[in-house]
Amino acid sequence: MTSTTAVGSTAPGARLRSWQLPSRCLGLALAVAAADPVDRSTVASGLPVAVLAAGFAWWAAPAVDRTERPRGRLHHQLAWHRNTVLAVVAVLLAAVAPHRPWLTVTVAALLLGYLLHVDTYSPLHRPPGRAVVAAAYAASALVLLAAAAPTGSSSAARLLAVLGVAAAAGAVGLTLYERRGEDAPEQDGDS
Amino acid sequence: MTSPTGELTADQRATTSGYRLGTAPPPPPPGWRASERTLRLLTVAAVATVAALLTGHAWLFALAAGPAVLLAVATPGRTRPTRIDAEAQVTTRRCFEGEQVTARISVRHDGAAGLLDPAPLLGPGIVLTAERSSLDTVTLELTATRWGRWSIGHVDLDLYDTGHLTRRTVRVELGEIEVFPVPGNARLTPIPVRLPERLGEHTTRQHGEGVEVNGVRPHVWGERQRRIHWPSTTRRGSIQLNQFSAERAVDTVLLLDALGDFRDPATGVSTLDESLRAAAGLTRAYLRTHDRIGLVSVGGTTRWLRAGTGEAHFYRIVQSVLDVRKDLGYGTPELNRLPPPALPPGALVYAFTPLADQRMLDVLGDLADRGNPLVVVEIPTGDPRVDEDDEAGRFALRLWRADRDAMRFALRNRGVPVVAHTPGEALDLALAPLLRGRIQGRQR
Repeated sequence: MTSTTAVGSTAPGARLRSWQLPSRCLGLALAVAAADPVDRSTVASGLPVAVLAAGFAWWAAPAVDRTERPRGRLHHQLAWHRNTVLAVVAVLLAAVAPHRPWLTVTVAALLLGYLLHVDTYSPLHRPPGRAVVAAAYAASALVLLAAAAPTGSSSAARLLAVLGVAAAAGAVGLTLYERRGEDAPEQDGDS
Repeated sequence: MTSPTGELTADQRATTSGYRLGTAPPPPPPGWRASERTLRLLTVAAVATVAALLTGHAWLFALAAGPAVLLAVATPGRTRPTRIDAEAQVTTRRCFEGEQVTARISVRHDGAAGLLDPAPLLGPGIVLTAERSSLDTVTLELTATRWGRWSIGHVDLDLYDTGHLTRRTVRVELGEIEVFPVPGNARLTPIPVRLPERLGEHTTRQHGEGVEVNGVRPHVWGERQRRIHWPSTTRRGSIQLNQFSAERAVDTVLLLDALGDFRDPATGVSTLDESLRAAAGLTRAYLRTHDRIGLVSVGGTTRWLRAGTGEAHFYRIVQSVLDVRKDLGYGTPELNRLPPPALPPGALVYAFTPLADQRMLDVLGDLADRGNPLVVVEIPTGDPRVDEDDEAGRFALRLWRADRDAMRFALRNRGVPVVAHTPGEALDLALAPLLRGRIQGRQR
């Protein structure tokens, strides 16, 4: 039995509103960095795309208020998951933008920062500990360093990458896996 | 955690939840399922990985590594609860309009769990004013806004694991509540000409054992001599005694028009709400003077309650009409089918009606033919809105007003007083003109 603990002391609605500006600024920075407004070499980059991405980020960045319940329509669902959509749009914009080392580091740091920020200021989630934050940033940094390492590429590089990704996904999956029989739902005693 | 969620009405809640009131919401999905956080982190990691494989940019894996680590470290292991029990307690099942009701939901489980996320879907007439959550208790502060017998609603409780990766929903029913109307402000109690032979507090024209002197008469041998009127005795030379008025109680019946519920386009006030509030105020006033009061509500099922007295009778009267909203009907009620105690002969009848339905005119005509002294308390509905450029609408509005004037005229022409009660004002203002005389029925 869990003991009763007062969770927080302020109203979540007011708390969310008070943190809207930092959220918007963080989302704006993430979208603009991912869109790379300085670059004009590709279609997906440049000032117009950056302006569009910034506008979208300004609207989508604040953590969703849980009193807004999702409805069945697709645009309502997208609005409900707008934080996720913003992060995915940033990843896609970064993927089509040309590779610049300083910008990749910035995007990786901002993306992780934004995800942690949304987790922290979501009304239902307690902020992650410092060790968790450090581990996440360390993992990103390690992969960035590995990606920047001067290794010779071969035709089998992608296959090796796929295998590596599959191994990593398997490891994460095993961590999350829990035998299904153990949490088979039992009858709830609703009153 | 006190979290005023704003004044979300049941209609708004129902709209935001994606289904309408009156339709049973789908049952919550059974078992544990991924939380929004899990979906967000997994989606970002998967998109970054696929983008890295498609574009060949190895650095994009870094965008997937962070979310993957956040997921991996948040896994709750085997500590998730396997059995969850939720129990709701409501502080009161009866209250007056505007009063606050607290619903406390306690959750018990056998493992380790994270936060609770309640999603209340409230019934009509119930508004959520505040919400407090702890790790095993959810407290909802509710306010009953309209009288009636309502279903409070239910709460879908999302129970998260310690890492906030998965959640499981438990539905908790909150049961029903009876919301009594706030009685209108009324103190005046007009009475009819004839009163039944029962002791009460209303001074009548008949002689009796009251306290109000209404005449002098000669002493008859054998009578007590304590009420001698000395001025008359010395003037006439024989003993004269004071005569007193009898004090009697009145039988009153409230006739509630539940044939329809009209909403004033300007103020949004419901006629049925106002009818019962005014009727409750008048009930209080008559019960205060120890009169007997009964009730007949017409519309759908005709309900009645025989006249009675006492404070408890007020609650019996109100309880008997709480369900009228559920069965608003279209049949013309037959008062002849009512048992005689429901409408005692000679009882003073107050009809609370918006005078918007021709069938009510038939009911009132029937009552007048029975000879009961009758007072019609008109609850205004407000004029329908008509556009300035809608000529047909303007003519229809004139016709509508003329129709209502005709109904009032028809009643007054039969000797039935029609008084208009303004919502928000004391009913005494409408009833005061009736104190000039006694209300007369056909039995004179």
